[in-house]
Amino acid sequence: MFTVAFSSLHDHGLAEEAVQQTFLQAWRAAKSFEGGRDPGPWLYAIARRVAVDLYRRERRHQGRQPLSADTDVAALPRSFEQTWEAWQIRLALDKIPADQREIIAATHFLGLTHEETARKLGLPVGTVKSRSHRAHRRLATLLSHLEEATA
Amino acid sequence: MTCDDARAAFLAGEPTAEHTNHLTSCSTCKSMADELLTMRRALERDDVWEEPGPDLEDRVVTLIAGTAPAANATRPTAWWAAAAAIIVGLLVTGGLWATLGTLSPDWEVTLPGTAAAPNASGIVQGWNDVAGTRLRFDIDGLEDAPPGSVYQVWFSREATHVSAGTFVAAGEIEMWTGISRRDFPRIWITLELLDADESPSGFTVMDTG
Repeated sequence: MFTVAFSSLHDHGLAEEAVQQTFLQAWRAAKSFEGGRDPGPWLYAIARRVAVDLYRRERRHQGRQPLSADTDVAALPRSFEQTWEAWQIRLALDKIPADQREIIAATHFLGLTHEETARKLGLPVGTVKSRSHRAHRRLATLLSHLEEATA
Repeated sequence: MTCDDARAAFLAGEPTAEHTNHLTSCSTCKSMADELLTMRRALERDDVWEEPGPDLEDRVVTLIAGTAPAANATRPTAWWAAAAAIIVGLLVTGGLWATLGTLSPDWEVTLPGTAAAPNASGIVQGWNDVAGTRLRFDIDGLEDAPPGSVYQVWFSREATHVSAGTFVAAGEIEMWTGISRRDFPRIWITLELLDADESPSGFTVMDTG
């Protein structure tokens, strides 16, 4: 949920506030949630709506033009269009063992080569390569449901 | 080559000509091309890797502990405050799997393929518990077990073998065993026919040695 909020707002404090509000709203609306369903999409929808509300509030506090309902979507920053991807990739990353996740962070986020990653983490290059292979294989499997989403 | 092999190489940014050929000729992979590219770019974004403060979970619990859930407003505070703490603990950073996935294992060993399965490789991680050992296998390159057979995991000490469970396809596999690796250090996997014979077949595909 933090990733959904932070990817929308790009502000650590606001994102944490959004997470708090998300769980508060979910808690209050728990009666409407059908047991047995995956709570993820439900919480995602609440978190995104909360983030939009916080964005509007901050905009008002900055004395800027309030957004009307019919211009909301067009006027929201591009970051709001990318929350779903951020959420999906974060869900997948959270299911990968920590030692493999740190390899992905080093090579993708920090942009390091396998050799640089090996030096940074104090691992043999071969170990970095094999963990990287396993991590990306696992990521590909975890993201295979996108096949259905794009079909 | 499987679709996952080609997609993994693309996500890693290291596709070979063979991978690229698959990605451009396989209809399902082709239909996912835009999503895969978006996901690869997402891995480089700071918002994907940003972590909440360590006290966020406590703050959420404190906040909702002071608020009765709409459906159960008359229940005692302690009951639903405790429930809230559990739910938030599991969900605030991504879910139960995330919780399990980030706990460091107590041990980890590599599990190479034998001559019968030279392309197989994997690791085994274990979490020691009073009830036994929770196991997570991450196995690549092992063909699916043929119909009528399963792969069986064994823990051994000399001639004593204890089965830890069976599976039919590689990937990430969770198991429990009631024994400790300290007592049964060798971990190996055999291909077993689904028959009445409960002893190891001897057709070993992976082995820590």
